[in-house]
Amino acid sequence: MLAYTIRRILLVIPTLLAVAVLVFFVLRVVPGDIVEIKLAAEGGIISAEEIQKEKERLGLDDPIMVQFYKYMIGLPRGDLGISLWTENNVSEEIMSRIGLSFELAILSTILAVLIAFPLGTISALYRGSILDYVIRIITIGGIAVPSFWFGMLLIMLILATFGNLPPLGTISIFDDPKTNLYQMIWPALSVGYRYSSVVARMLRSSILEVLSEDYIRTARAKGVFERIVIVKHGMRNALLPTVTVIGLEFAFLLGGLVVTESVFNLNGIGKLFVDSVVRNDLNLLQGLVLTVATGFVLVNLIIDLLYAALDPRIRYQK
Amino acid sequence: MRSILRSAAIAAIACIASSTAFAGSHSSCPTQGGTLKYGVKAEPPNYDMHGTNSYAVMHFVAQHYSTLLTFDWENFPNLEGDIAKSWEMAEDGLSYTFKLHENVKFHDGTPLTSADVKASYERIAFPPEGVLSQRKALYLSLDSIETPDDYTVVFKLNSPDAFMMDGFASPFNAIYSAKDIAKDPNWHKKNVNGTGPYKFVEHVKGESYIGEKYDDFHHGDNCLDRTEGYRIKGLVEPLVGGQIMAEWRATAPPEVKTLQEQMGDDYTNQSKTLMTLWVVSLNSESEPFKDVRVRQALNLCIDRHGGLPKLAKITFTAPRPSGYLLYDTKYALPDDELYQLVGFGKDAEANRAKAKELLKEAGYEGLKFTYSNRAVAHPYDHIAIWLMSEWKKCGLNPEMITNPTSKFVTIRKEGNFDATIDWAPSFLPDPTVMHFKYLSRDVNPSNYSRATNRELDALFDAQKGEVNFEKRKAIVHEFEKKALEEAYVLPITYTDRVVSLNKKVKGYVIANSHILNNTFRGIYLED
Amino acid sequence: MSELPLLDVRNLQVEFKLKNGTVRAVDNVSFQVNRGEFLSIVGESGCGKSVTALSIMKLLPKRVAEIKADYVKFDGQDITNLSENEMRKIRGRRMSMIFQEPMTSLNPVLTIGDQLTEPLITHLEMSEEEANNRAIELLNMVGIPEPEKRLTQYPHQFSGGMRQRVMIAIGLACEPDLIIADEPTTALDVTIQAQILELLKDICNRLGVAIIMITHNLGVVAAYADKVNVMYAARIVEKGGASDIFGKPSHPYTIGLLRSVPRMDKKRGGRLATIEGLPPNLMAPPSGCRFKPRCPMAADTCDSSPELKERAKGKNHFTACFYSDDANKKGASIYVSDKDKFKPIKVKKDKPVLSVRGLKQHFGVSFRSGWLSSVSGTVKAVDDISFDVYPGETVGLVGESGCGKTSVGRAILHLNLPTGGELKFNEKELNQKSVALVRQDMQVIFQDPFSSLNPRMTIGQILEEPLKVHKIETDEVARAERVSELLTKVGLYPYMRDRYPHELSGGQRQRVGIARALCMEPKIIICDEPVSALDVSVQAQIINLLEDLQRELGIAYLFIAHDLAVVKHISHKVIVMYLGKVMEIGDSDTIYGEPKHPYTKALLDAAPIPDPKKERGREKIILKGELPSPLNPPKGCVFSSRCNFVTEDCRKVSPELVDFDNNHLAACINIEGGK
Repeated sequence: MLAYTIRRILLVIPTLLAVAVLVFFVLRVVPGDIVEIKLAAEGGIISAEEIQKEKERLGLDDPIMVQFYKYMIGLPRGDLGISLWTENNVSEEIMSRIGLSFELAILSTILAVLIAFPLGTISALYRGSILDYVIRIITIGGIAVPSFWFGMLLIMLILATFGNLPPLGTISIFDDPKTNLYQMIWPALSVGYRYSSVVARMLRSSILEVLSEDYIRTARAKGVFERIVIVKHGMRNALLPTVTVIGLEFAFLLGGLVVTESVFNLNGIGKLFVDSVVRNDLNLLQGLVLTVATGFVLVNLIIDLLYAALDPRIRYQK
Repeated sequence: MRSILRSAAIAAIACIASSTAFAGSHSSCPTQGGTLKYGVKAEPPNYDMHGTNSYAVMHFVAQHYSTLLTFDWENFPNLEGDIAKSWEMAEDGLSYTFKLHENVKFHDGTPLTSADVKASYERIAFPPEGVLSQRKALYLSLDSIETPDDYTVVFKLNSPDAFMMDGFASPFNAIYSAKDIAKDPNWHKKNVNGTGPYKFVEHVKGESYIGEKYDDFHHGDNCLDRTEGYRIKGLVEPLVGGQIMAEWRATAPPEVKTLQEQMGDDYTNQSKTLMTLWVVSLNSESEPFKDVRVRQALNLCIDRHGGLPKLAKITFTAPRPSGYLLYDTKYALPDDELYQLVGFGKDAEANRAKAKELLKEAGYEGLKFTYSNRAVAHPYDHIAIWLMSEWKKCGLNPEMITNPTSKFVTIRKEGNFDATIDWAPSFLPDPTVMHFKYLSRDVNPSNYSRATNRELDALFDAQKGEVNFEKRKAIVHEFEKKALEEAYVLPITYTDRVVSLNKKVKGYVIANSHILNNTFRGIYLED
Repeated sequence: MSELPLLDVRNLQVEFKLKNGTVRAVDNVSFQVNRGEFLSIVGESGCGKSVTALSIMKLLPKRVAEIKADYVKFDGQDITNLSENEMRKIRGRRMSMIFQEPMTSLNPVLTIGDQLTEPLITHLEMSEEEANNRAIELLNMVGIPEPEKRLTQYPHQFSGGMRQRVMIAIGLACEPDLIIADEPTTALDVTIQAQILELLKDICNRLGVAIIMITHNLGVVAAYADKVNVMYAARIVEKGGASDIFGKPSHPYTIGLLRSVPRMDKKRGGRLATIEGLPPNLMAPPSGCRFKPRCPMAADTCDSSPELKERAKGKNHFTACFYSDDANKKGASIYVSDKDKFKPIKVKKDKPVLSVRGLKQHFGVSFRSGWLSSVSGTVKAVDDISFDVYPGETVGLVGESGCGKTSVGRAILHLNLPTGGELKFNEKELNQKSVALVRQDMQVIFQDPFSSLNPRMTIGQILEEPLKVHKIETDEVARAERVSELLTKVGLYPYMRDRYPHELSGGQRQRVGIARALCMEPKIIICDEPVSALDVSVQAQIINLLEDLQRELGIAYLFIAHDLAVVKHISHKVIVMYLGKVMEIGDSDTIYGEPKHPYTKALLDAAPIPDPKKERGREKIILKGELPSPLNPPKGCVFSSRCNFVTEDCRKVSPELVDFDNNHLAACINIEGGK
């Protein structure tokens, strides 16, 4: 298990390196010029000479390989360069926002799991009942409805119920957990709905599949209590594919944050992503892609390890 | 010469008169206290007002700073003093003398003196290496700044400059402390220390911007305890949900409708024409558009009188045809003169007939050309759809190419278009600012029509050096007519600006630009 | 002992409510099992034998299955109306079950110990420690070495045979009165099957546990059963003592079934007797006697259902046939004998169609062994094998799974590139390049007829495809004719050309597989376990078909199978393989009559003969242990680790094949008389 863990962790490094290189070059193909956008934001009278000067100052007229060299040299030290827009360190810009996105991601994952597990299990155990159909309609909705649209519906719902929206601005969960949760629960729900639907459907089908397995029949033939048959023999096996889906869906979660943070005016990395794209802030953008990729790889690492913990076949074979 | 002297004297008297009114009109607050929450759709890259064009900076940062002069917002563009107590232009137009208020202090407690004004204007006009000044070009006529005493500043010019006076009221020309500039010429990019009504408290990047009342503000009309700015995406939900009370840039007509429905009596708004002119730049390097007849034909096809009122109902454009200068301002062509010009007449059918005739003459009947559009709904798509249909009515074959901002900007810069939507934003209704856009390409690279016309360049320089109002106006009219007839850049319409407010917000006066009047002076909250 | 039978089932009925109708899978079945008795339920797939067992345990899905019975008395108590919880208390405690698939019947994510102690803790309320001790005892009892260590392991670390031992241990855990074993050895090799069955029989004898064994293997029945129920189409057609059923079968179906099985103990007598046709569809069973459509004795009387009647008072031999006396008397002769049609195939040992010399197929494998390191090794799947196949000859290739017999076939076909050796086809060298030229002449039939047929193509398209690809028949009409001809030849009907594979039965699909091989007019067909997925009566039909085709077309077969009896029946020459090596090679009759090699002898002993008298009378050598890892084969003779006659030398010397008599070769240093 330890060897497996270490091997999986070591595998992360080349993966991220490849992402870093890919991102650098792909982004440089995108047309547009941040200096132009920045300086000519609201018109103004700006000479070509000024633009050139600003480019030199920001190191944008270096040959691409020089820029690449600087970028790669900085990476091992965690130096992602400066944001071309604010001229702050990219890592600083990201760190100041990542906490919120992280909280949102965790909260929506928790929410998703909390919703998905009872729904998926009930749906599977009462297959074909009205309850099952209702749950399946709810979950198919979660997959079909885009999360930003659901987010907008939620906003309308909050407005209709409470008359106002949660206050803007990040309030730390440690200072004022109540307000923080009141702010975060809605976006978490908007992302978590889809997430929970996918997980619930997966759980439903894998429970159904597992319950028709031979070893479930064996367990019943042993005279084990039905509850134990389902929980001990069924759920643990049904969890295996479900855990994979939870990991894969995390990718969609990160994508979902981009829209959801904008819809709810949250200052997370999703919104920063949108901003940096609009501003053509390549340094910030590549930093963000790298961060998100790291997050994705780490989550999948955790999922793999969890998988190994759940499934002895993986633990021992590899 | 006598007339120059006279007008200068009148100006000086007027200035003194208005400055004596200081501490009268705004100083009292009907109520004191409360927190103003407002939304801004953009994020300031830094806090340097000299180096920015962005409303994002102005909406957040302007509250911290003062300028030499400012405008009387009720009677725009009449000037009034900010830190200047009185001011005077020399008869020859080559020097301006300012007397400063003596009780002005920076937020760090140091008093403001003439040295600070000198240092600030030198930073704008003669930026040292590594400092970006966006408006350097406007101060080419500035020769030197003298400070005879702590509260007197004298600006010396090498040639008369008609723009100079309005420029002293430019909201961008914030007065920084000389000692801060001495610390680091770029100190103000990341730090704030001004003499404005509200002090800087905190800026959470991408999220919020907090200010608090500056108790020693020299005008005393800072009525709020606290200002909280929030970075928002859309303005409707935050306004309806009570997250913000105002958004200062603009509200589109459909948004106004929604807000009225959802907020009911809590909603109020103010509107005024915004000094941003939407234009279509025709690429003069494209073969057909080298011919003035074709350019005029395209202009003639646009039925301004019929179409603009309809367009204004669906997006935030003004319903009224205009030339390059903002109508109803002192230098603008009067409507009856404007409507005589090619393309501005009221008879749409006649215009179209004329256009077809011109095209036939030039041999470009049914001309095919590309129109580069920016992938933004308001007002770009709406304008594009209207223009497409107008041109098709003339038998032309425009092809619309829509791109996201960055690609659009690249196309516009590199000239890979026949016609493109373009805009001329101004923050002051002065011809030097407003006509600069249409100068030859080597003078102004952001004239995306890529045209060169030395006649226009000469007229521009002439008006700039003419400090006599009537004479200057005559030259400006000549420029306006000439440029409109050349039709390199077709003015479409100015922008209608609506600012949405929660009705609690009082004392705000909308200006003709979202760059202007962002200091929150005079704003108070009423329950 | 109490007079009361342990299990008394009266008029058991099970109906499945499916979307497209109701299936009565068990119809009025009655039988009894006494304490300590061994009852076998035999029949072909779909006859309702497994459903009978599951319905006694009440393990059928309640949503679709409806169980009715006059009564099912278990130890005097009627369990038909017991609640789920009362039933649960009986399951695993007093009645337990062993399933067919040891690979899937254990929970992969729980340890063996956990699964073994579960019933102990549930039913006997043992503490964890007590349960663990008992589990170790149980593992010892079922012959699993190092039980303490094994308890903490997971099912995937066990071989199939070991898992089945664990299943038996679980079944025996609470010392039940009855064990129901549903095809417990079908998925296992003969040698392992023998071990498991011996174990089961032995333990049950000692503990006095009654067994209901469900199987299709008549040999197994003959070897162990006290009583036999023969089921056909959801009904019991004959039941009684094993000696009566095998000795005096009196239902035409039982007679046919017994005759269909190829016998190792008898000389090749000719074509196998077959029962024509297929078992009926239970959705719409025929009225009256359900065997009537296939019965050679069918008469008008058979339009009404015969009752299960005792043949003679007190004999406990029941038959459901109006003509049981007649059938009993006539025995096998009720089936038209086609011995006359049978002419032995004469093989001209002239020029071999296929010649294999020193064939080697090695696979490099590598796997992680921990800490970023990996171990690589070579599996010698086929190691130095030589034989010839002559036109019209059938060469049988037998051995346990993993012995490399399938690899031989794949190497010859160049599906895997052989590692070494020389292959000749019609005296021309066969290599990577030349194989394409002879592909048409070398065809293959696979084990699973369903997965080897494209489900999206009609039978016609499947058969036409090779004709098109190889441009054998370019004309469309001619092609269609050819397809009809092929279908007829393999005993199908031309109209079946428009059907899809799923619309056919297993036997019909295998016929299509044969037709596809035939359409190229091959010289040799490599048959890889062609009948092992089929029921006994269908298996006989296919074997007959293959023989007929050989006689008619002179095709040679390389017949790969694990069923010794089938191989014996069809083959002229037999090769016995073990761990990639040839143990013995020789004429079919010689190999089966006078096996030389200890492994061949053990294989023959392990395969039960469907005749209780012979089966129980003979002495058997039962191989111990399992096939060693091919990665790390024993030194010297590869069989040395399991051989009962092993000597010191065996572990040192790798024995050569020695010719004993007229092409009868064996690889063992301990056999006298080699030349």
